[in-house]
Amino acid sequence: MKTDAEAEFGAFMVSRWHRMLRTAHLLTGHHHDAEDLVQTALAKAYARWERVRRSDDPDAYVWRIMINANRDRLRVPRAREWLTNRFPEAAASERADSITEHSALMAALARLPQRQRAVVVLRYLEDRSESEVAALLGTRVGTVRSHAARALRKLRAEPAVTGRDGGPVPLERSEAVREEVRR
Amino acid sequence: MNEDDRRLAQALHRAADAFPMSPAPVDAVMRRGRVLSRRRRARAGGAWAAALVAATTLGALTGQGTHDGTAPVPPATAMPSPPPTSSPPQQGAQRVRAYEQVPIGHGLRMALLPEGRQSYVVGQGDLTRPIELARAHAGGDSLNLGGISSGTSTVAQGVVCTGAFRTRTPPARLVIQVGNGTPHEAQLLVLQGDPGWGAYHAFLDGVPQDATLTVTALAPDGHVLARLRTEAPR
Repeated sequence: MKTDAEAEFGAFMVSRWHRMLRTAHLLTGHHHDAEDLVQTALAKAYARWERVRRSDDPDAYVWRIMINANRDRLRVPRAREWLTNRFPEAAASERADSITEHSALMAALARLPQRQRAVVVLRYLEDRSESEVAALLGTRVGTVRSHAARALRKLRAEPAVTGRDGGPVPLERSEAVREEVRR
Repeated sequence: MNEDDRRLAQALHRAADAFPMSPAPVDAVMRRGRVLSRRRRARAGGAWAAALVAATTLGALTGQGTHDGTAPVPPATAMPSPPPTSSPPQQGAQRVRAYEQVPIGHGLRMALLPEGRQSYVVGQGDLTRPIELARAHAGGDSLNLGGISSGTSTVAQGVVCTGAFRTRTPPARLVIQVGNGTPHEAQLLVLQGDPGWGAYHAFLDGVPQDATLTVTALAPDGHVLARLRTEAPR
């Protein structure tokens, strides 16, 4: 029988899993690495769950664990491993185009230093404010601004970002996606 | 948010949407969390013991100084070689072509990619699509010099351990040890042209939960080129 803490953590994890996985996908660039990163972060959160649940902002606590775990992951030598029994089956009609755009933007993200990449993902995928990002990264707002400015200069040179990839997404879908992220 | 920022946000959302979503593995994560808790508690207890041992050892050394007053120098340590393996050692690696889908047993194939470095694909059946996806995402060096990576795939008969290595000189052998068990000899694959890295695979009868895997790359003369100790993934 699950204890109260286990049930509480389980509910927390289920409700945050997809949001964290979306962010982890763009932080790591690899499905396998992203899953591993989120599982690692949530396992660490579970190991100190009493402290997490008593904190002022459990979400921020867990996101900080994930950001720090990603930084640590990049320090450890590892190879790109692609285990096909865990790989997605993309819709055949969209696969070629989505792979091209996806790969161009992911390659551009991969070329960013780890901190700049984290700032871009937290600001523009998660739609967080500069002060929220600064708190998650343990740095100052000014540092977040300069990381963002440098990263954007590099990304704007990427066709997938400047709009030569077929045009912007309709505003309704963009708003719906932001609402899902915020929830 | 200006127009450029909006386009970037939209591109990032599309990129994030392109990845698959899997269900939350709650039980597996809680098991990992419990292991972390146990290790943290063990380290906290071990730190006290280590401090005590260090204090007593220091006292013993200073107390056993030589007649000229200098303390004895502890012997130099080198990475110990693993014990003998259960099968005859393989000397050298099999050279393969880029993207060649090499059967590695138990219905699995492995392909090494020249894109990025230390990139390979392993799985069942035709690997053409996974190879294409892996090529699209290949980056720069994934391993530092002297590094080894490791991953496992569960098959009907046991576990297949695969990974990559990047060493200054090509290893003659690579062995994998589960806990304190008998080491297993791994088969090595390298791309033609000596790119400075390679991949390996080995079949293990079984890997208990919480087991430590030790992967050791050995030079022709037997000295250790690189070593990785990792917990068996779940």
